[in-house]
Amino acid sequence: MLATIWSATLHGVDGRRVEVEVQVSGGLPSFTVVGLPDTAVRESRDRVRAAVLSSHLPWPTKRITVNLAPSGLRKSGSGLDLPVAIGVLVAAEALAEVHVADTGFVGELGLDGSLRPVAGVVPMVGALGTDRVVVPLACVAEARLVSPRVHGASCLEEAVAALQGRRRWPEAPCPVVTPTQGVPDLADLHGQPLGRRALEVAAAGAHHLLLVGPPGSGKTMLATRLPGLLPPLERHEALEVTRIHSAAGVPVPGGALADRPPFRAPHHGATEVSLVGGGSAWLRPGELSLAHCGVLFLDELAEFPAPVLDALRQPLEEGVVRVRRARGGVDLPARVLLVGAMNPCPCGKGTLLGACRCTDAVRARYQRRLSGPLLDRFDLAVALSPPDSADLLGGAPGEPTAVVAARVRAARQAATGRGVRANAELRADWLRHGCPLSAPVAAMLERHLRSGGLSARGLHRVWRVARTIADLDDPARPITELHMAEALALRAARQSLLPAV
Amino acid sequence: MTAGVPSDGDGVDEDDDEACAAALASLAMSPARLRRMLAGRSAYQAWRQAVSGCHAEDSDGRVAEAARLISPAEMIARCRRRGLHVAVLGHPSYPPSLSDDEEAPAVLFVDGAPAVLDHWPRVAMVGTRSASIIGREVASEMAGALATAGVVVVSGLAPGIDSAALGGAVEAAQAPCVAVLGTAHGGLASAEQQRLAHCIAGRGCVVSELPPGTPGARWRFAVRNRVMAALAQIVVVVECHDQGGALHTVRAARRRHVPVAAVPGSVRASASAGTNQLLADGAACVRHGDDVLALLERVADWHRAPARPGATAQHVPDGLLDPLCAKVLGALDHQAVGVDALVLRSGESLAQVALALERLAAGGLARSEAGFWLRTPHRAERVDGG
Repeated sequence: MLATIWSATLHGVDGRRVEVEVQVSGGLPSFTVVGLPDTAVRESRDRVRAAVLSSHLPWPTKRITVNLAPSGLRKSGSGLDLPVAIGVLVAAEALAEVHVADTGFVGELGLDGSLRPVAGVVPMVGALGTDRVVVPLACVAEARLVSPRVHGASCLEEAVAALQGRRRWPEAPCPVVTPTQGVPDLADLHGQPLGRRALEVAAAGAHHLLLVGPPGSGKTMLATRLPGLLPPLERHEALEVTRIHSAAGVPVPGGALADRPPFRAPHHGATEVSLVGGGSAWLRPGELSLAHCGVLFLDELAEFPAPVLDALRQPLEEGVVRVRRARGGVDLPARVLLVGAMNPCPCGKGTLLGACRCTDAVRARYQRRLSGPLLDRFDLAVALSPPDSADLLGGAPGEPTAVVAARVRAARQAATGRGVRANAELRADWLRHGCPLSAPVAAMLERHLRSGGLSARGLHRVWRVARTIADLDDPARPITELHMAEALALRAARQSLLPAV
Repeated sequence: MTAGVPSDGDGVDEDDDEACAAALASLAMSPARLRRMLAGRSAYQAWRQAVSGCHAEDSDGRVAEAARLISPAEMIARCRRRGLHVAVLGHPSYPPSLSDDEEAPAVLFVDGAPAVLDHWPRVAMVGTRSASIIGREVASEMAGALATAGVVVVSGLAPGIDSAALGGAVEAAQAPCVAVLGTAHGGLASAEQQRLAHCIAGRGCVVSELPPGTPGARWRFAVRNRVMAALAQIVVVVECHDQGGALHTVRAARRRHVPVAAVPGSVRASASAGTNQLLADGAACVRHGDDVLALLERVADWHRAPARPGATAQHVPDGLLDPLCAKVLGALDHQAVGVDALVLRSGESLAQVALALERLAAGGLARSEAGFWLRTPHRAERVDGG
């Protein structure tokens, strides 16, 4: 007879509903799976058969055909094991059809019949749309984020018994909420007024930030404190972040539902695919998507291969990675706050005091690895120097994260009032009408434009940054000379990275 | 000239010494060997002997082998096309300032006015390629002051101190200066150097020991340093690392009893390690152009022309400085300072400091370099001195 079971598969970071049809008919005993399965799905035949037999359930010694519909969609991953097993049991009449009515199944089976967690439960369960969902016990907490009626089971036998009403569904373990540890505080940072301010402005206006400085100047310390300054994720953002992390099989930051902005810091050996996402069979999200709504920190920026960095350009502009392959494509969300850190020269010692032996040519070659268009995307670029020893030992601690974060929140609210998430998204025409420049401020900019230190594109960028700085003061007030001077100071290091004209 | 070797009709006449010398110079020989090849005979004779393989200096025949591939006529045509003057040691047109030197180049290719090589006095300014911003600035200001006082600045046109010095001299005054190349003419690495070379050739001269089109070699850079030392009345080392290349020039200068002066630097700065060592070893200490001029008066019995008034930068009355700007200017010293340090030193907020810096920059009192800030030199002295 024929059984139809609902399940889902993963496509990028989205779930797709899949109908698992199982037919058990007369003929030579066999087990076939059709409907564009990938290797993991095709292998599920052996797992399913072993699991059913280990669970002391009957296996039909007949001809079994499994069809995964829609047949044009590629199915990947091991989450289809459980629905196939249930389908076989229903088709073999070991389980009544009524027991699986309007129920979705996702889960991987072990040969002993145990149910194993799979990646991407959040998007898959979200796509199912059935009245109730059965998932491996370890995935219950994740699945509950998107579906009200979720049951978990630790093995196939348990699931079948519970479906038949012979026993109760086991209690899902409480989601382990990691205590709010690990977000380092700005108060640990002594001195560094420029770096601190750059961090605050970056958080308030979502301006990409480039830190240039020798080792030990606090680049990484600063960057790791940025997520703490960002406002907590809103519900829809948190769901999206959770969905992406779930799809990538990466633990969600902060427990079951991501409440804090993620922080991703890939090593500079990263490939293009690992950074922007993609892959051949299973289009998976890259670091850029994992950092969605959070911070992507690229330490040693100049050590990343140039093509990898240039692949970031379009996603940074659009907030979406459009991965296209011959077999199909996905759009992966990728709205990140990019923080780059690099040394001023290859030996790392280079300050401007002639401390190193790197010649101009060597420095130029090192800094040229950053293409102009990528450099253009950094609204803020600051040169850091190692902190003073007196500051390190005796200096007063700086403002704690909580105080700065409060200012950032107020500035973000001002941006929301303008119809954007943050000032970095303000359009040029809005700037012209919504926040005109006073005469002295324009005169200040004119000097920079004339000296070649500022381009037309740079003008709008520094304008937005000045607006953010003004918002941190008082959102209702116009940009003053003080704000603009600070905005210009916060991008001054950019100048040294531009190729010599 | 006695025709010791018969002409074989390759278009070279007996009196075509320049062409033959240029052709010999294009062979990859050390300057010393080239001198020996040309010693005691005319360039034409030397060339003929070299081609025929019977030159006493060419025992293994390698020079003959290389020489047969070269046409003197084409070599001299190439020089003429670039407008180069070919000076052969021993000829009347060879610059007298060099002709007495033991290691004088046997052949010199000069772009510009060769007479500039005999202008007096001449100061060589050398230093590292990986110079600090301050070092470049000191080199440029010092060269500017020297050029304004009528001194011919001699340098090497390498990136770093050399280019900064020549650039400063070219910018400051119409006074001639001299660039001594380690490569052939036209073999410069960057467009910026080419531009500077062109500029120098217009008002002074650019000299090389190699005819155009000859490939360069690393050792040539060390070897050309002796030419700078031979030309100079004083050698000034602006910045130099420990064991840096500028020390070649220093050694060459010491062999010739040319006084060596060095610019002091921070004892922590690697770029000043070599110069500080020179000072410790007894080199004269020079801080700015005036020190070099004073030294020149002592060692070369030369007296500068009275300074022309109005040569320094425009003067902004100190009264125009608001207290904030004055405070930030006070915190700026002649080192490049990060905004961080300025905030800490002045005790003002970042925004206040940034605004003050903008105003100082607009008034020409300070300038920024790669996110670091410096005082503009002339002005700073006025503010200090009142």
